[in-house]
Amino acid sequence: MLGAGWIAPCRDFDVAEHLDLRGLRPLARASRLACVAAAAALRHPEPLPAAPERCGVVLGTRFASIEPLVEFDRVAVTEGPGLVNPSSFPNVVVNAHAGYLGILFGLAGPNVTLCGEAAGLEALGHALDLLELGRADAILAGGVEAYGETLLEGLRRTGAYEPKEAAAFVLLGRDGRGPRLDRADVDELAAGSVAAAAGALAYVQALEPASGSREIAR
Amino acid sequence: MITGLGVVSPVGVDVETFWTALLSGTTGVGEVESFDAFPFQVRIGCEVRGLELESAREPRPGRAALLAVAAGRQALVQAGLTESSRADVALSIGTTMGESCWLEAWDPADVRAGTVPAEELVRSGPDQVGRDVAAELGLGGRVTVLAGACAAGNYALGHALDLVRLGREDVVLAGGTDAFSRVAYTGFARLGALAAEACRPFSDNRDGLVLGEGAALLVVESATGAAARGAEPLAELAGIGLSCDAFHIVSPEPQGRGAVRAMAAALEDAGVGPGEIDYLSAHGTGTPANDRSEVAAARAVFGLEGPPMSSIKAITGHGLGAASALEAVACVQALREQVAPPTWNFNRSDPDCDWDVIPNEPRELELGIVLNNAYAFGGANASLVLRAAA
Repeated sequence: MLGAGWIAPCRDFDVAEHLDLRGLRPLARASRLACVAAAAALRHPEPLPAAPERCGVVLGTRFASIEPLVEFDRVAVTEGPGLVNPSSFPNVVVNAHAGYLGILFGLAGPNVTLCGEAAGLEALGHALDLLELGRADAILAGGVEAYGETLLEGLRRTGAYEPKEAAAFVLLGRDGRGPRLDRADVDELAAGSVAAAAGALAYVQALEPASGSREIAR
Repeated sequence: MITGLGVVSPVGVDVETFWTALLSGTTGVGEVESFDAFPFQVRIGCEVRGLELESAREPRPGRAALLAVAAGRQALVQAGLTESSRADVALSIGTTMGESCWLEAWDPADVRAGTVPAEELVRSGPDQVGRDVAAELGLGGRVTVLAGACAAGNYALGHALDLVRLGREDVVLAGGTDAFSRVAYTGFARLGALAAEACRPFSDNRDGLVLGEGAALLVVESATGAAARGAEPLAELAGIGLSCDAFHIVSPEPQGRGAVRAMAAALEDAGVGPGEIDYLSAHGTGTPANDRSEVAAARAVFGLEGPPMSSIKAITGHGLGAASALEAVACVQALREQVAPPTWNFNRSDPDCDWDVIPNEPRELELGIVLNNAYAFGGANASLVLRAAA
């Protein structure tokens, strides 16, 4: 493992304070959280550990695109399909978050998005497989969960599910530097985890509690 | 090895009818019926009709899952995997929109007020498609849901190949599914990507894509595993190549550099050279930008005289997560029958994407190895190499 980073939830979080967004203004909340955690894991703006074409992204999530989708559809239904903002459409497609990570950090290798209850940990296992098969030399892997106000409020009110927002990424390499990430540990954690990012978050924190990581909570 | 195929498409809800439509040019385009399309300027789509989507389970799975169940059942039956032999079968499924139908049905005000039950909210994630398909089909192995947008089918098939290669799974049911989605329709409409009348891939008069839906699932297993079960190999899944444009969230990189890298990686993975590819199954959405960059990429990989290439999307529409899986099934059929499906609705060659696209007529070819390309939002590219069964 070459680096790690996470961001814990914070309500009035502004990604622009942490990262130069340039043309990426329409990013969804999940993408923004992911970008900040990823920047820490990559030690951005340090150079990538391998050629850009050999650096991939594997991102796990479950609900990251629900809020953008609900909002997009709400505008289309109430105001008409001609009045939705086309630049917000990519956010309803779940792989947009990993796509933005690729664009922002120049990661041009495999770009994979997984969905599941423990998708953050699934992503770590998936990345280890891609590295083992030589499909990349380094992979930014982890999870992100963001709900947005509508889903967050809805889930809180129903009381049956405690929503947690987070993003956590590790940078995995093939050369064995840094702490060893064991496939069996990842599988075991994934089997017991119930929240996509939270699982990865716990794992990242346990692996690398201080160095190379970054926690933002206000 | 691929030992089972299943298809639910706008032009046929079994492999035979689907394949016949690809060769005869019967398109699935019609007026949109899934929702009231009155507010839209363009009102055509490719929807799956004439299929009873049944489920005895409560809560009832969504349409994307049920389309996949119907396709998956065909594939499992063909592979000889009866209900009692599915305990270890894994699922690798790709989707773009998941069950967006649930979200489209809710009023956001109700969600916020907490009147939509939490179980329903939690079922709105795309991962629910995987759980529902596995439960309906009685698959007991690991379930992976890949949100690879318009390349999701190839992603899922590539993942199945990796799982089998690494010895993590013996048999994987893999492919893609998407239901006709109002949100997707709205998005493509706003991007100006919807064709006014028809999808005309690579043609000089192409003006966009026609949104579709469907599912295609394939049974993937090792050659030795298939032989031990006595399953007939239909074709070999020989390699996968993945890359990211890292360029723009919706527009393809104009020179197709990311697509070039995906194709090169797939060829390397399969251990074949560009000169050994006999046919290219194109992403070929019919949008001016996609088709142009796709031909630029093909030129970079194969030179000026590359293998013939065609897009079946004039017939099927763009099935999003299902698209490349439907195209993978078409590739298997092409390898088995030694016929390439043509690019229908072709008018005249566009100088910007001048290539032999097998216009308007099926072509008998000696097909040994073919390449199936898929490109997605986020700049995600996935190429798959398929080889004729020995």
